[in-house]
Amino acid sequence: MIEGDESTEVTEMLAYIRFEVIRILRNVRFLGFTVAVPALLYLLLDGIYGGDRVGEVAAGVYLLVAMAAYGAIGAALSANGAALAAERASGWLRQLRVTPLSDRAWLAARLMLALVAVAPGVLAVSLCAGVVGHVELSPARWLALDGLLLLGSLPFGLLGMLVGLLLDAQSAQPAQVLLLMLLSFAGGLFFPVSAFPSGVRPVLESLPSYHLLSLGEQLAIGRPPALDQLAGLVGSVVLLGALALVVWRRSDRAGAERLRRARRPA
Amino acid sequence: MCPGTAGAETRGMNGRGPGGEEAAVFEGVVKRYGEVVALDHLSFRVERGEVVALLGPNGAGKSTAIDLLLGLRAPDAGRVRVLGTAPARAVAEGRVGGMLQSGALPAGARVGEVLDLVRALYPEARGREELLELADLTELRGRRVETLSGGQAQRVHFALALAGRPRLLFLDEPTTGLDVESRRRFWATVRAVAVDGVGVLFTTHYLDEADANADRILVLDRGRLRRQGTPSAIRAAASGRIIRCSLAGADPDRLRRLPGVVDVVVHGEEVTMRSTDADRTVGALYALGGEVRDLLVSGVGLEDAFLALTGDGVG
Repeated sequence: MIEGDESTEVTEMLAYIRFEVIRILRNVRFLGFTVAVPALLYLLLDGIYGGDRVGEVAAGVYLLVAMAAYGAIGAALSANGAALAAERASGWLRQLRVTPLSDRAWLAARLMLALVAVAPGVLAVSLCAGVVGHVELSPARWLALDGLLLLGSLPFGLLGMLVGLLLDAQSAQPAQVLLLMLLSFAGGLFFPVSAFPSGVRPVLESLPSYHLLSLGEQLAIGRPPALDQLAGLVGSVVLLGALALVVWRRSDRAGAERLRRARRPA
Repeated sequence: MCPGTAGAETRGMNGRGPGGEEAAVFEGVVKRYGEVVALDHLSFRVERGEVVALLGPNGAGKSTAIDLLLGLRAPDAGRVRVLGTAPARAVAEGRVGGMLQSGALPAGARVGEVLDLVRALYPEARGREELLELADLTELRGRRVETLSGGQAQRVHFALALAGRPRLLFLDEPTTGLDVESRRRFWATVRAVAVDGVGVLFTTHYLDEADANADRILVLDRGRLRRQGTPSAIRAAASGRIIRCSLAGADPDRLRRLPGVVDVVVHGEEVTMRSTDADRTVGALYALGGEVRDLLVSGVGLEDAFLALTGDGVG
């Protein structure tokens, strides 16, 4: 890889992110599933369970964090999942690799894009909770919570990237939905983890979706974040990031298959 | 005098004008995928200001050569240089433009937005209006890319290749899907760009297009350069006559020993031979004793020359 001038690289990344954000904002399906669905689910569930408590927090706060995390995980997964697989198949990524945009800048831009894509859903659920759901947090806590939900989506952005790099365009879409459902259910976003049998809870509590939910609840009620959960979230970023790099570097094999197919006697 | 100017001066003293400077050089390039040899000691040059066609049947190694040229892969042996440096560096510096095979454009974006993105990635990008004009896209700037016809999308790809004012322009089957008029305008633009000192390398399925638009043709087969030269030189190299016939149990080795024969291709009973002395070849062919049917003797066109050189159709 040739390393370009850093400032040029940043300009290129910004142009690329801007281009992709416009495409995402025009994607009605994406906005429906990552903004409208979590916001409506919040309003619906808050209407039913609003007065209850979930463990140590009010149900309204649990639902705020859980639904915002649900939207965020979905957005982070799909920003790089099926969309990336389709761009790989269509040859658009190859076209980009013939421009001066470096691999490094491209990878970084795709990850930042995942974080940007998370923002509309997180903001929508926060607005619903603050205005309709009467969740009252200080501005500093709102900022900390939404900031956590954005940055805490990084492991899911990386997971989406793995899906987009490893699977073809047809299987990436269902894989992405399956991962979202699995991480949401098992991570306690639809039912608190305390509702599961105690035997499986250690497994569920090691998921990054559980860490995100739990850290969010702690920030919302003004408690210092649990360091082991923070370490778990960072650890999943390191692990998935390393995996994504390995997969990216192995993408040299397609040429061999193409040539073998072409030379096979008709 | 600044260092940049000094460098240009040095090149000038080597006696290379803007027209005689290398755009792309392959030197003894070998590329293997496991046991498959994709490129087998391939050597060729493309000068700046020159339009060169790269022809070859499927599996000839064209795609691999292109990947190496664009820095997407590295050779196992030999050297690839683009504009005097490593391909990946030339690409990173924004001196290469590529139009890749029928890549879909990213859905949801408008034509103008795709062009603006790619322009933003190049240090010496063309202006928006100039680019729209060059690729005949002014009317289509506001259109979503998913609503474009194949030919219109192809023009967008052409614009993407030209966006950075490349010194090496690479075009992979550029006119697929274009109508006759668009094709004419396309080649006129390529010509105009080449005159400015840009090296152009293109692949095509249309041999008449290589004949009409290339200064030079490279014929690639099984990873080796079979022949290179002007279109007329390629035809002349395959001089003589083409003899076609049906012959039961045709044996290529026996046919190759007939007088005048320089090339033999046998597909089942179908025989195609190139001969420098068609009269004697035909006489000897009948003397072989087999049942010769549907005999046809014709002059050598570029297509025949190509078949003679590669023993295969253009894939």
